[in-house]
Amino acid sequence: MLHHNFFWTGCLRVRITGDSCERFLNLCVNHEISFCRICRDQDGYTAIMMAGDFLKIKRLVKKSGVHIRIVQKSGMPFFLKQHRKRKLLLLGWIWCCFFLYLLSIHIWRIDICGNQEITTMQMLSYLEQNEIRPGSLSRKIDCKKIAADIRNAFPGITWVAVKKQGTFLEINIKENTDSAYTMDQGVWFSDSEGSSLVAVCDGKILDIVTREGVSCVQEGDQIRKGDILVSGAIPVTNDDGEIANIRYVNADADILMETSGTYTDTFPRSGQQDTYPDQGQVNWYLKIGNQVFSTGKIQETSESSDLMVEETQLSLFPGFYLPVCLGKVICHEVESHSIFLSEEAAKDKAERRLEKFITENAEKGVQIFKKNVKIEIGMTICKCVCNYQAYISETRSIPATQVEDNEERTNS
Amino acid sequence: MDLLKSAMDAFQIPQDTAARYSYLQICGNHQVKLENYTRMIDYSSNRLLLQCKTCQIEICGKGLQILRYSSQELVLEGVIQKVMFL
Repeated sequence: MLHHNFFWTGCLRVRITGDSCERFLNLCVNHEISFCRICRDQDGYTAIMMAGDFLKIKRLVKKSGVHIRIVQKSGMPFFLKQHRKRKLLLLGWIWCCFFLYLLSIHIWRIDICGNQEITTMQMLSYLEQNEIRPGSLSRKIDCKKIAADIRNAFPGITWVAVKKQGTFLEINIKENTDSAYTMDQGVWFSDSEGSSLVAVCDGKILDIVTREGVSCVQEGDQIRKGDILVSGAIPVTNDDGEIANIRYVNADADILMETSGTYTDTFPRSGQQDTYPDQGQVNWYLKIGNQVFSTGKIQETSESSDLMVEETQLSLFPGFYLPVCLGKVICHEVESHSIFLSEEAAKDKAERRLEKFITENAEKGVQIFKKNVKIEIGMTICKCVCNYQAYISETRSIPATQVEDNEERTNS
Repeated sequence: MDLLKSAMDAFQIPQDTAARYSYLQICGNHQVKLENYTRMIDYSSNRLLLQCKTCQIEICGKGLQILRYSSQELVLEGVIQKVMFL
């Protein structure tokens, strides 16, 4: 804190010589004059003190009989005095501060996170219709209103968080990824109808823990795809034991099933591989707002060429983005070659594709615990067959009233 | 003195506040903070001698530099080798 004061009020590095330097320092301290970074050398002391205090030490210097000399002056008052004739510098500094302030009151970057089915361009064009774009005034953006408008405009979004940080607007969304809901876009069930859980594949129930609803299966049951596991329709019986009413809830349970399946993958050993023969043509560009200043123009030499653009938006601090983007455009010529996979390469490719299948299923909650892999490499094709057994915890939700309809149809 | 000490214990008053004892805070072997001292007697790059109310404190070491010297506290930095109460 003392150093910050020293900068704004100015400080002096002084050299103190004489017989009673310690007495001088003690006198100053008793008169509330502080020192920093006191160093002792052969002849005397070197110390830093505040510029304002230097004017008060004349009497103390005389009393202690020391000699004091200013070695260096630093701080804002001395800087301003040194540059007092440089008025343009001051004007430039003021203009820079004003310009930064102008930039800080606008939004220059909008990020959309968490979207899966709704594309970023869809969301940005919706925001554009509501006059929210890079360059909009920050104070005119109401985060709560935007969140509510997005939820109303996109029924598939279950959760929205809008955060404004400096010149950066971040919109986090969470979409409803339930497959039953997404398949039947025109039909959706409200909380009053409830929902039931059905199996997504054939298998055997290993474990079931029901939190809401009525369990229709138990451990050890063999089930088929589409069978109802937990029903959301809870019958309410009267004193006579007759069903007086049906209460609908959203069924919720942890279900672990064992299932088996076969994975088959076939791909040709021959194919086309695209390569870039050279580094490509690189052009740098600077984009300020909508104006683009480029070092040159990309000349496409052939029909088959790839164009890659890498762009970075400049920022002063985290959250303080500027309307300036620096980017480069790389144009690669593409050469296609015919390739023929060797046995090892084909086997490696088949294993990689199988691993990818296992990883994708693991993300969905399907854990393969046993597999029998057979890779056949023919003259022109490679075939991979994998019989697996897996644990699956995924279920599908359907409206609870649909369960009743199905039961009535079955009974009739 | 005993009465003062008893009163300090009864009211749980810190000794550096009531009896003006020196307060020394050592951070590793490279920094010392001192409060409640009277004056500095001698200072060099190897030795610092301070007068306190009831004793003298001598700090020996190498490359000693006083970071801050004010009426409230003294901060000493360097390689501290010895702290003695004389």
